[in-house]
Amino acid sequence: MKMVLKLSDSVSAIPDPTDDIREQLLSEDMERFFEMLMEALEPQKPYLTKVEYELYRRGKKLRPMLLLLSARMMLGPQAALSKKVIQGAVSLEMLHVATLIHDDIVDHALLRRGLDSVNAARGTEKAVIIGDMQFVQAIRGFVDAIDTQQDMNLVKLVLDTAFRICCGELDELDTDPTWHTKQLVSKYMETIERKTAVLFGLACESGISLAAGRTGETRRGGFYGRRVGRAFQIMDDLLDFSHSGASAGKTRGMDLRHRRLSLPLIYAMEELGGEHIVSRIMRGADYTEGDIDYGIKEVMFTSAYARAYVDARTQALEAAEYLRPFPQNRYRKALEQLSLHVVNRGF
Amino acid sequence: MKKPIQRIVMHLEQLHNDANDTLTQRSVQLQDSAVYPLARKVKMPESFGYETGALSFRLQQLILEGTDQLQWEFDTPAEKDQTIKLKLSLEQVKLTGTYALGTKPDPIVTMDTAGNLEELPEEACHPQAAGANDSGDNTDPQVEQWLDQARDERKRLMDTDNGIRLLDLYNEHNEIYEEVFRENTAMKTTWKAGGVTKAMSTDTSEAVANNLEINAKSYVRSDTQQTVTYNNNAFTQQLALAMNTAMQDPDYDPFESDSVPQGKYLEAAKATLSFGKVVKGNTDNDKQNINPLKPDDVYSTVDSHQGDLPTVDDREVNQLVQQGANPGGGEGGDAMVWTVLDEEDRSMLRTLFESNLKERAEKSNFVGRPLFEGTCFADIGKVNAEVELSVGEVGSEAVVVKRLDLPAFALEIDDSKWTGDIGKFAAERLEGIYFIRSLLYNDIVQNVERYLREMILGRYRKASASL
Repeated sequence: MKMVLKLSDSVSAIPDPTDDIREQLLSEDMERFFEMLMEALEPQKPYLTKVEYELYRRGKKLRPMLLLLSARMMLGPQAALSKKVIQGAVSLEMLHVATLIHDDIVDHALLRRGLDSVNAARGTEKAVIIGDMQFVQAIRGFVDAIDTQQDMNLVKLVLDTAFRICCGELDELDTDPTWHTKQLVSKYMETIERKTAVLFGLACESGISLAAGRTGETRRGGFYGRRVGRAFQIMDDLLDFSHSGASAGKTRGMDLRHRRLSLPLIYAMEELGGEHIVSRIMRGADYTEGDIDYGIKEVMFTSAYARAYVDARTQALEAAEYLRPFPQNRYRKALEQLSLHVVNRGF
Repeated sequence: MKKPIQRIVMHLEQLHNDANDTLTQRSVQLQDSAVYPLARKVKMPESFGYETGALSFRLQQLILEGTDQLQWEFDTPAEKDQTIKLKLSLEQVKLTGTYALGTKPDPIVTMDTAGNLEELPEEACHPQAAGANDSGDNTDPQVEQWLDQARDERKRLMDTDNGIRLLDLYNEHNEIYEEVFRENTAMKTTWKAGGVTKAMSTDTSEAVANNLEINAKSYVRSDTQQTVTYNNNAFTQQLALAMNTAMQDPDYDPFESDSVPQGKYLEAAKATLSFGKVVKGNTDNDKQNINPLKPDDVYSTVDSHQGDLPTVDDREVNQLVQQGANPGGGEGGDAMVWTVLDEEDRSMLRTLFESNLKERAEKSNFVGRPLFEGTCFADIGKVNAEVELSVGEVGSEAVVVKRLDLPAFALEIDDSKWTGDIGKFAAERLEGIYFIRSLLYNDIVQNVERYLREMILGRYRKASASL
């Protein structure tokens, strides 16, 4: 017997479980989600353009999916999800979109999901305010939907999460590439915790809590979500080196261009040494397009790249372990699949 | 000084046809892959030595063969050109190697480390289908009652500013505490020792329900028959949590004199100690001194506390660890941060330190062992490349691979010895590892590119030297 694994330069044939989850497992819940999202955007309608609507329309809706799956894992398929669960998913997506808009401003990114970023289309000043508006509307919508004291705790959690996201964004701008690797990794993990993981954690925590889960279950859901979030961010950093412009809607090597200390870059700087062009770019040296192309190849050729991938996989596998005490149903199975899918995607 | 380009081309062609050419290699060796984690807590075959293990996958001894079967064509350059364009092909490339599917012990966590720190019921470790059978509720009614009570008390705490601050402080470190209770055997053992903590939970529940004194009772340990007070056990657990949390820091090296616990582990240990300080400072309760309090007293104490929560210096945690590391260790340090401990506490710290060292040593010895090993093979086929050799000034020569076409190919893994459920499971997991496949594909591309660059540059230098 021989097991056969196909290898190629194309990722087109890789199955994506998020499609099935969105279109089958959660089809009704997602329909309600999109309806409520449109309602939530209604008060902002005079201020939004096609660019922002496209931003909401595109994307995999991973965070709302995590929230809905977490709630369904507790309630099973029969129970109707309450309005506050759907609103929770909507608020989460709005929080996420707010961070995307602000990220693009900070990065001076002109493209997002293959289209003009909000700052590219409408200028930085308007983009800042549009981003803020999404933050505020996310929380307003959530407060309107809740109805118990326990849910009030969630509002605090949402506000704490929004605060931490902002801290994470600032932390990222305040990292010095000359630090030791250990210090850089520690700072990186702290940054991605705030920038990405807390929102994934919030998705699962609030899904379970809004479905009347116990404190321990809610907390465990948060632990799962945060680990998925960490794995997701490390993978995002890895894919920044490998994706072509067409497949990701992004320019390759953005982290190197922007001197953003991602995990593969931190490990690669250690492996390549301080005088390597990658390390010098990260410390502020001028670069050419050729330097970036060369740097990308060099980073991918180091063992640092695989080392960062091992870290992502470790987080994803650990995430799935937190699901073990939960009821065994197809929603839990889908959450397990999602944690693996995050790290299994090819490039 | 510039070299005459057409003569270089001629020499390159001669080198290419030279049967004794040493610059082409029959094979190119790739680095072993990383050890990729594949799955956690997988049921091991009968009599394997442990019940559940973590699976990993690694490719080793990877060799690209057929790299000497090189064909090349030149676009003959004009004499003024500084670049030679080459079309290269490796006619029949094959990949050979071995793989190891490894495993190491990975026990299932049976304590509810994210919840009430009780043992999880069997059903929760191996749960039944949810939403399908409402009668399958196996929750312990006593645990349920405690949880309801805890929820009510939390709400009551959340009604006060100080209560919110307290909860926020400990919530901030929840994930670290969860890790300590999940991973640290010394902590789990201390927590469960003699059944005292569980008995305290029962009594605390009753005291809270009836506004009775919470901390007036004594308990007989089921293991040593020793009598311990409520305060004694509570402060011992608090100290053990601080110590084990500090020891849990993976970057702390107990064998390096200048290494100290840091970061989130240090902060969580400090938060634990600060709780002891706030209790001592506000109620005059400590391990020895018992000042009985009713729930209403606790709430009024929380309400009436003025100012910030007590701070804990980093050095206090370090001294705890030092006391664990050396009999008499940590003494003579800065008196301002000295935590006064009795011999019982110091003895416990030493025991915890040793237990943590032992556990670290055991875990580091878990290098794993192969569950299944075998060969892997791929018939990659023809690889085409377009390469530019810039000759220019002496010393500025460069080779750029403009394009490299590596065909899609199938990696065959000999799984003939993969047996049982674990074999099926491993195969299922490997099927899904698209990223690792991409890494291997990319690694091959990069190795072929590097090989071609170095080989052509070597030939150029040789040709150039002979002019």
